[in-house]
Amino acid sequence: MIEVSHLTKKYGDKLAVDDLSFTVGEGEILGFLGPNGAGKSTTMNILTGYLSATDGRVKIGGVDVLDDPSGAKRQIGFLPEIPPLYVDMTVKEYLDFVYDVKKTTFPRRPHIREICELVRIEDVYRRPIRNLSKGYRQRVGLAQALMGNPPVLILDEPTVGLDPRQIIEIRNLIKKLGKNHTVILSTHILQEVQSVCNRILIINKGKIVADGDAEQLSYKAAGNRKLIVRVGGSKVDAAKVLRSVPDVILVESMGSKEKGTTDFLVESGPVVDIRKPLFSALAAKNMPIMGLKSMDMSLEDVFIKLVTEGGQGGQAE
Amino acid sequence: MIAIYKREMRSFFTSAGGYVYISVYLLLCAVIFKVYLLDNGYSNISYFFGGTLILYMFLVPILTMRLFSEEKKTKTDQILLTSPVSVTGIVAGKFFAAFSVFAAALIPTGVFMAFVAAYGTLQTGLMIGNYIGILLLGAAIIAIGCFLSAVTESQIVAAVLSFAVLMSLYFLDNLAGTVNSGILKKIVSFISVYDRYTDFTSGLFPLSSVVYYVSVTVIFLFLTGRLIEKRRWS
Repeated sequence: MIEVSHLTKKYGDKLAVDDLSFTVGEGEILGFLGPNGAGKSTTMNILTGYLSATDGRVKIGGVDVLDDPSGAKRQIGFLPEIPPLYVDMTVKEYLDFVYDVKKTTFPRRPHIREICELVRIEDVYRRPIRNLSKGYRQRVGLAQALMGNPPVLILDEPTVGLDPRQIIEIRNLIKKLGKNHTVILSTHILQEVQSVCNRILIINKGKIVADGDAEQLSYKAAGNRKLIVRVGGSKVDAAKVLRSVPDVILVESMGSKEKGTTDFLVESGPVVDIRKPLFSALAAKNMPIMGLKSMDMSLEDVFIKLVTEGGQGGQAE
Repeated sequence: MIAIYKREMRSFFTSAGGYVYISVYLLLCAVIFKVYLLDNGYSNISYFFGGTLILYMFLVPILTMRLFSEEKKTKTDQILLTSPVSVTGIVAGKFFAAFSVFAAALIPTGVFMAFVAAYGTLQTGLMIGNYIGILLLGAAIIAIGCFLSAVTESQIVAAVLSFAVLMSLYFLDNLAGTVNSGILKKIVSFISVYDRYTDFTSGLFPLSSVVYYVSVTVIFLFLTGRLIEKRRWS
């Protein structure tokens, strides 16, 4: 649905986006992550045609943004970082204006009503945008992006400045929209990406440092996998059993936190899952597993690691 | 383009801009009408129209200062530039909105014409010539104002710049009178926006001046569009 190849953008001498290439398939919800100044907004602004690239190509639904800007723009709904609202208009007037300027072909009233119901702004429909709260403004901005039901939605930090309840509402809405839209979502809230997106693209200094789903990224960054096991029974015996499990590289006692049990840190190779053999081995010796916790890196850790290393891979910690 | 035109028109009359322009313009027109015609007992309306020229240099910036600067500041230009509308359509929509307010403000001045017709002799041809001249002059200076509004993000800067440029152009006419060199004089009076206007007050229909005003309008609107495009590339 979206094809980006060798996209480069320079602001004077500063390289904001550096030879970026990726594609987004139909129905994907792509989380676009990166520290401030990584080039997220610039990339999104280029995709939507607000900015022009210094070099490279962007195709939206097979239409090149340079060859047929109108054709490409028609397929995109864009919610910029600051919602582009005319505060002197009421919500109704504003959506009417957006309807016209987007050259929407759906019947006017039913289409606008449908969008208002979807983003839940019916109760402020006749109020001036000037008087709306941040949450409502964001939703009016989203309504604007949905006008004409474009197949691609590009949302630049859609939940910034909202209260927790509103954040959840907007996330659920984005998930819902993701069922029949291709969505690119930029954010620096990591739970958001985890809860909403089915693919994550991390960029730093204008380059892609990681691409995949949350789990893949954790593996990629984490190196060896680590488990914390709480085993009932004697410390020495348990350690012996754990060491006998194939693929285990390291067993380390972490002391006893519950009476009659011992916690161990068990490290294995980066790709193998030792939980099953671990269970079988302990069960065979009648040693109960009282707790098992994966020490996989959280997305936060992955993010910080990838971004600070500049995507050089390397060992965990 | 029509959507943008409608929005701008609404904006002129929901904010104070449109009302301020029209009311101040008509008030000052009335003053000029009294001082130039009534007090002297003249019925030559060209004196009246000539007197109003000075008004546009500080009133037209009220119409144009907001047009592009405000969109850039509030980032609402993002919705325009990411919609399937051409930059030409955006510029044209905004220009015609400002021009409509400008033209609408001229309609009530018909009262002054009626006054002249009732108590003196109104030269219809001269009147038509003057109105056409004012509209053409207005289009040109609105286009200049549009351009200067696209230069900056601040309404105030846009207004001050427009005022400065229009005032310089106004005094350029006086300058033309003092220049001795023949060629220089020709050049100065050629670029003089206001000087051209006198052609319309003599009851002639000066085609070259019409072409001049239309060209200035088109050139500055074109430059406005280029400026907006350029920002996308820089």
